[in-house]
Amino acid sequence: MNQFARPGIHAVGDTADAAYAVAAVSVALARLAVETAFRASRMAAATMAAPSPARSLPRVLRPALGWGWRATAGAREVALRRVNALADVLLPRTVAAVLAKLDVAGLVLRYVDLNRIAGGLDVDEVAARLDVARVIDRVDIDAIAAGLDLNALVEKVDIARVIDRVDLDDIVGRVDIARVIDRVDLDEIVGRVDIARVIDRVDLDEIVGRVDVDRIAARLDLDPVIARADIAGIARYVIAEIDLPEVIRMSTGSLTTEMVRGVRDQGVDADRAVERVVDRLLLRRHGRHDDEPGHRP
Amino acid sequence: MTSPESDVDVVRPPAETGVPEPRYPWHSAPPPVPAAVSGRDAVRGQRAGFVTRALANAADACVVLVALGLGYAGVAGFRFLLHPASFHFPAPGFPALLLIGSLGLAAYFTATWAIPQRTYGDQLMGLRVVGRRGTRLHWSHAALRAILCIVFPLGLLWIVVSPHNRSVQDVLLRTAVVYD
Repeated sequence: MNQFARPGIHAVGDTADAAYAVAAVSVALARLAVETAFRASRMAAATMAAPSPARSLPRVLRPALGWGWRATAGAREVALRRVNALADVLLPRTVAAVLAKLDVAGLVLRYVDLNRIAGGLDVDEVAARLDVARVIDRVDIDAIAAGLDLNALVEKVDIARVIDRVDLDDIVGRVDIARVIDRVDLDEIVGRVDIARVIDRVDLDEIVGRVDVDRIAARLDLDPVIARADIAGIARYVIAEIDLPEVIRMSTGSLTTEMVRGVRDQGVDADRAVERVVDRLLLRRHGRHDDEPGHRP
Repeated sequence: MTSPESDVDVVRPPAETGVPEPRYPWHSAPPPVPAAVSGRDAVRGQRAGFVTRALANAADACVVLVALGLGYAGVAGFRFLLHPASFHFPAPGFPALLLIGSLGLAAYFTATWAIPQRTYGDQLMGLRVVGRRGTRLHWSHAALRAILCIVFPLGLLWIVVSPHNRSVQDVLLRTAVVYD
C-alpha cells in the first residue's frame, strides 16, 4: 500500500477488489485484442480483394483462407458483441474501484502544477462569464447568518482599538445633520416616551423653588389680560352666585320704602300684642298659628 | 408694561394717620355687612292678625272712597259739559250711594283677590289672600268672599277670638289672609 491508499480496508476486501480489477483488466485487454483482430481481418479482406498483398500467399491456400474467413465471420461478430457488452459492464466498475483506491486529489496536488495552470487562466474572462446574480441567488444568506456565532465574533473584536482608529470628528463633519433631522419622525419618538414617568422623576418643587415668581409677575403686562377677560360675564356670574335679587328683596321687601316696611313690621307686632292679650284673657296656653295655610311647600 | 419689579416689595408710605398700610390691604378688609334680616321672614305664611287686616281694610276703604269720589267728579264734570247752564252737582240718595259703593267695593275686592291675590291695603300691609292650601282664589270664590265682607263686615272681629286668626268669611269660605 502506498502513501495515497486509504487506510482501514480489510485484506479480504482488498483481495476481492484486486481480483475483480485483474478480471476487468483482462476483459478489457481481450476486448482490445478482439477489436484489433477484427480490424486486422477487415484490412486483410480488403487486401485480398486487392491484387497486391494476396499474391504473396500460395495459390492453393487462397480459397481455403477465403472460405475460412467467411465461415468464421458470424462467430467473430458474436464474440465481438459479447466482449463489448462485458467491457461495458466491467470497465466503469473497474475504473470506480481503481479511483476509490486512489487519492485523486492528493495525486493532483502532487503531480499537477496548479500554479502553472492558474497562471494560464484568463481570470478576467472567467469573471466576465460568471453570472454573479445567479450565484448570489443560490447562496442561502439566512442559513449562513444562522450559523454564525456573532457573540463569539464580537467578543474577539477589540472595540477600543477599532474606536481609536475611527476619526469621529471626520465622520460627524461629513454628516448632514439637517437631512438626518428631516428624516427623523419626532412624533413617533415622542409618542413612545412615557411622559408620566419622566414627570415622576422630575422634582417640580425644586424647579419651582428656583423660579422668581415676583420678578415674573412684575414683568407681566396685565392690561391685555384684563382686556381679554370677560369682566361682564364674571360680574354676572358673581351676581348670580350671591343672589343679588334675593338680597335686594330681603333689604327692601316687596315695596321699596323703609316706611312701608316699618308699617308692616309694626302691624305684625300689633297683631301679636292683640293675640297675646286675647289669648291670656281666654286662658289659651298653646297660642295660635298651629295650622298655617299659607306656608309654601 | 407695568412698573419695574422694584415696586413689588414696596410698602406704601404711611397715610395721614401715621400707620403704614399693609402690603395686601384686601386681606385685612372687614367682612361684608350681612343683609338686614327682616322680621317678615319669621311670620311669612302665617295668618295675619286683626290689626293688620283692619288697617288693610281701612286703606282699601279709602281707595274705594277716592275712586268713588273721582267717579262722582267725573260724572259731575260730564253733566256740566252737557248742561253747563243748568248744572248742579248730583245728589244721589243714601240707598243709591250705598249700592254704588257696595258694587264698587265688591268689584274691587273680587278683581284684586282673584288676580294679584291682594288689594292695595293688603299690598301696603304685606298681606295675601289665599285659598285652602295657599292657592289663588277662583273668581267665583273671590266674588262670594267680597259679598260676604260687604254684607257682614263685622265678621272681621272674629279674628280676635279665633284660635287661627280666621274671620267669619274665612271660616265660611275656607280662605285665609296671610303675611306675605
